[in-house]
Amino acid sequence: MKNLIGYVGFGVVFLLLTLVASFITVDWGLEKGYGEPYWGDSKLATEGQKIVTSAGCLHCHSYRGQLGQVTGPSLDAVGLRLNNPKVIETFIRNGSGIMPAYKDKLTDEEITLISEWLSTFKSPYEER
Amino acid sequence: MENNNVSFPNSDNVASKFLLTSAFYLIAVGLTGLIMAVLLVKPDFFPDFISFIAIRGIHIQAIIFGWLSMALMGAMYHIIPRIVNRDLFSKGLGNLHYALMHVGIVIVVVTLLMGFNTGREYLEPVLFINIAVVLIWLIFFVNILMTIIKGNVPKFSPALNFMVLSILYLGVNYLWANFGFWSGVRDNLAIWTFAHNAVNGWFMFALVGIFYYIIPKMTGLEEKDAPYPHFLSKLHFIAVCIFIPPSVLHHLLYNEAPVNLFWKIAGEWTSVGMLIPTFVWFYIVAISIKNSKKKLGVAGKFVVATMIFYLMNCVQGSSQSIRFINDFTHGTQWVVGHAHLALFGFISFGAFGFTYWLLSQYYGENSYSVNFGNSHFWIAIIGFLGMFIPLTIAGLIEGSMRGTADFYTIREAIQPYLLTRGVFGFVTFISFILFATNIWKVISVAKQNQFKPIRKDGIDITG
Repeated sequence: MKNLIGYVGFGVVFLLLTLVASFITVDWGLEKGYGEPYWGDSKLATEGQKIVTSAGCLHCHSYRGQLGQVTGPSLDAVGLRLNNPKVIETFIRNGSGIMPAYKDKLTDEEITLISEWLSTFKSPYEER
Repeated sequence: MENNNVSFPNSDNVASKFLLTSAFYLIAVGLTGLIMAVLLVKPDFFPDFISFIAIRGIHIQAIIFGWLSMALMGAMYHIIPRIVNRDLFSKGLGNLHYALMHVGIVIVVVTLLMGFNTGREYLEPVLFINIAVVLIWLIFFVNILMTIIKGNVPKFSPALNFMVLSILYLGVNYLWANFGFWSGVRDNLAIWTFAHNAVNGWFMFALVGIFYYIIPKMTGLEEKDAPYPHFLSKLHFIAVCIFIPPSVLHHLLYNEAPVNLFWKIAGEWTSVGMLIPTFVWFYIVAISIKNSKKKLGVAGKFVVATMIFYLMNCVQGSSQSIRFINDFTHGTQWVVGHAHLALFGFISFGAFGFTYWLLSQYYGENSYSVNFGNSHFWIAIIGFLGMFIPLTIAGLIEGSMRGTADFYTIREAIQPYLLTRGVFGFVTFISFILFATNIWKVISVAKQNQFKPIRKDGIDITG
């Protein structure tokens, strides 16, 4: 019993310590605005993040290889490829190929908001 | 240590239920995977109401909580009472847990199809289901804990240590990720904390614990006959405890992930450190299999395959955690291949192995068809490698095209590989059906016996 508690206790305590330490200090020392626009804290970015997550965009797309999946094209430079919020809006509204149409799933305001936010995504690929 | 006078009716009752039904969730996993493989090649093949997002969630949740958790919990319900030499604390709680698992999975599938989805990978179910999952986990944990407290814990048992730690890892990480209400990079970190620790903590620790119990029994090399020094199992345990928690950060290396250099380096090098326990455990199992005193049969085939895929998986995992390799493979189909290597090649093959072995202990070695078992093994291997190799190649192609002007043609370039994956995915699906048929055979044998274990020569061989 002593051995069991000792070994398992060590494992759990170390897990908890790492969780607490990493969650507190994970972004210490980074300059302000690091990772904009996706990680930004403007109203557009916070609202946009919320909608993009809950609508399921990240089940196919990703941003800079962070959150999200690899099925659809990444959102890194969507603002360069589709260089007008209206174009992005059309894609979201009507879908294309495997991408479902979102015109009945999101409100008009939500679609406009994320299109605007996505059109600021202009990270060039060369900067890897 | 073990006493043949103790019988385990509660444990047999609960464990056999879990082991006999987990296989059928695998069909749901295969079916959803197949639908997605078709959708990726021909997006308009299915009517619109089959949504990729819902199917993807079901695929993940069915494999985590349907197939793998059920199989692992079943094995734990069998093994832990035998290690502490006392019957399971409560049959009622065990059966309640069993029933709630089915209800929970059905609710998860229905809500995902209805569109309730948090959008967080691996954590798709919404809040009220999360609370239910925590309650189900508590029922499981209390039952196991009471069994251990009332039982006779051996002085040092790596199997028991790993299994108890795995249950706690599941609980701690599930609570942390679901009820933390994190935002920004911390939300990202919470998702990966669960995704990584569910696989590397819950699944791997549980399987390691189960193998620490099963392999000596299977090979007839128990206690002092063990062909490896015992300090290796202690080293194995301590090494995984130290290396696994910080290695979560290797999911946040790529590009300008808002993570500071300290945690990036910690994530990289603890992942490389994972090679130590990997090779230690591989040695322990390999040397046992090599010196086996008994015939290994179908289960042994799966154990050997499990260990080979485990080694492949960990070498791949550690190397892709180094930043300059990660830059190439991150966010490509390579990762999809790696995920299938871990959950299918490693954990599922292990689960096939121990399911066959435990069921043969319950209902005799003739309860399932050996020919079916062998075809299941080879078809699963062909199907799996046929999925894994094209995905890995597609990932390398994607990685090499990503920084160039050819970026726009990536989808066309990897299309043939996705098609190959779909074809071999079908082969894999056939192997799942073979497995389920085989389990169905065991069920029909067990039914004649009112699901009571058949003892050879009147001796409790399940001990």
